[in-house]
Amino acid sequence: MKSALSGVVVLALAVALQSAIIRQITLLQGSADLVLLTLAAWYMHEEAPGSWVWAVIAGLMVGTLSALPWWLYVVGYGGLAAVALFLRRRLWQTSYFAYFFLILVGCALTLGLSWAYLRFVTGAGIPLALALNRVFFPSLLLDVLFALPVYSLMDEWAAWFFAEEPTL
Amino acid sequence: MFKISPRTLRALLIALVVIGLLALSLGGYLTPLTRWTTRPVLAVQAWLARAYEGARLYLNAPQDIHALRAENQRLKAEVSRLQTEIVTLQQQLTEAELLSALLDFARAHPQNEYKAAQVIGRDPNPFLHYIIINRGSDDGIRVGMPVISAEGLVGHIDAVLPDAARVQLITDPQSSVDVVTQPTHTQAVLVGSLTGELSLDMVPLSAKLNNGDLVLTSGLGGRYPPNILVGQVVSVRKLAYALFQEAAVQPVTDFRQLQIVLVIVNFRPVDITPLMKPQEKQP
Repeated sequence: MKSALSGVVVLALAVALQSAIIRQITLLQGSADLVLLTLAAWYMHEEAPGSWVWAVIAGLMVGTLSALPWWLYVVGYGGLAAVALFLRRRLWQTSYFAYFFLILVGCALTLGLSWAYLRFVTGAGIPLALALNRVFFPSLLLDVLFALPVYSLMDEWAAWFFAEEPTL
Repeated sequence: MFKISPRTLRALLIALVVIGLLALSLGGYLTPLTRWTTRPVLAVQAWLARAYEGARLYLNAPQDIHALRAENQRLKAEVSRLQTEIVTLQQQLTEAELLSALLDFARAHPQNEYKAAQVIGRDPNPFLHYIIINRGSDDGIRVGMPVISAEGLVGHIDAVLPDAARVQLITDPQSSVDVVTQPTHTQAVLVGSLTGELSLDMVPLSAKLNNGDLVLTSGLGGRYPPNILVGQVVSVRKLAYALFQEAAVQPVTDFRQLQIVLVIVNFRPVDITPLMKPQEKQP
């Protein structure tokens, strides 16, 4: 419950920042995904609970603002949570490499799903090469640029969140 | 013979000397002498004055420093307040200029009713060209209402929340607007793209289309009112083997700088979807 509540607070802030500021910092047509970075940084903490809950909250919040259906984001961020849990079980210690790998996978998942939906469901004529060159690679580069600051902030948040309460 | 006493003689001599000195002084002949004699005196006086001032400052320093620090703090706070005020005024000036331009537009089109709204965000997905505005159903905003800026057409309301709404820009890849060019009167469909570029589609090869033609909404389709300025044709591409010619359009609105927009609240869009064949219906 505490994890879900903290998720609502952190992700609401991330979604607001994403929509109001980060979305205006573009490279070609790409832009960083602050929500994705926040989720990935949170998933990197081995003790972080509620990964699925955070993914659903993030998907619902972004889906409310976006013109794409909300379930697309829930699936995308859910896939990110699945990969993160898989990595946490397989690796004895999470690292920056795992974090960047998670960002790459998350970026590919969310943008890939968006492109596929627009291309095959709504019929928007966006060629794959254009999507890759104009959106995916620039977005990935911006995600990598923003990755470490977001990780540091989430690290601070996790340190506060998991701080042990003094016992008598 | 009268006899002059030595005392009188001395007095006369002194008077003569005094008169002589006065005459020399008034004539300016004594100035170098005065300067030469007063300079050391003045130097000593200046040194004494400085020494006294130094001693006075040293003795009064604690209370002066305290007063100066308080004054400094007060001035810093004042500067900070004034800087904040300047920023606020600059923002208000920018807003006032925008509103003035929008008011000019509204006066030029008195047949419409407008509701001004502030742009507060953009769609989080980089594939989409949507903005979020701070007016919603509580303010009378409904789905389908056209949205304009002081320059021209922006898009239409796509979704509404109680206190916010999402606007699909005409640059969105899924956007299409029925337009007409001026002065050639050619009907066309204006489509957006991933890169935000606008182009005219479905223009027959026989239709006249020139660089510099103005592009306005035609009113066909019932989604937008007619005669709203959209942009200007900047290049025309006509291929002999193609069914239609294409043209690139430069929009009049700078979609990256959108801050305040107007929603035309008295326009009711016509939904022509039921008239279309099932396979033509848009999802």
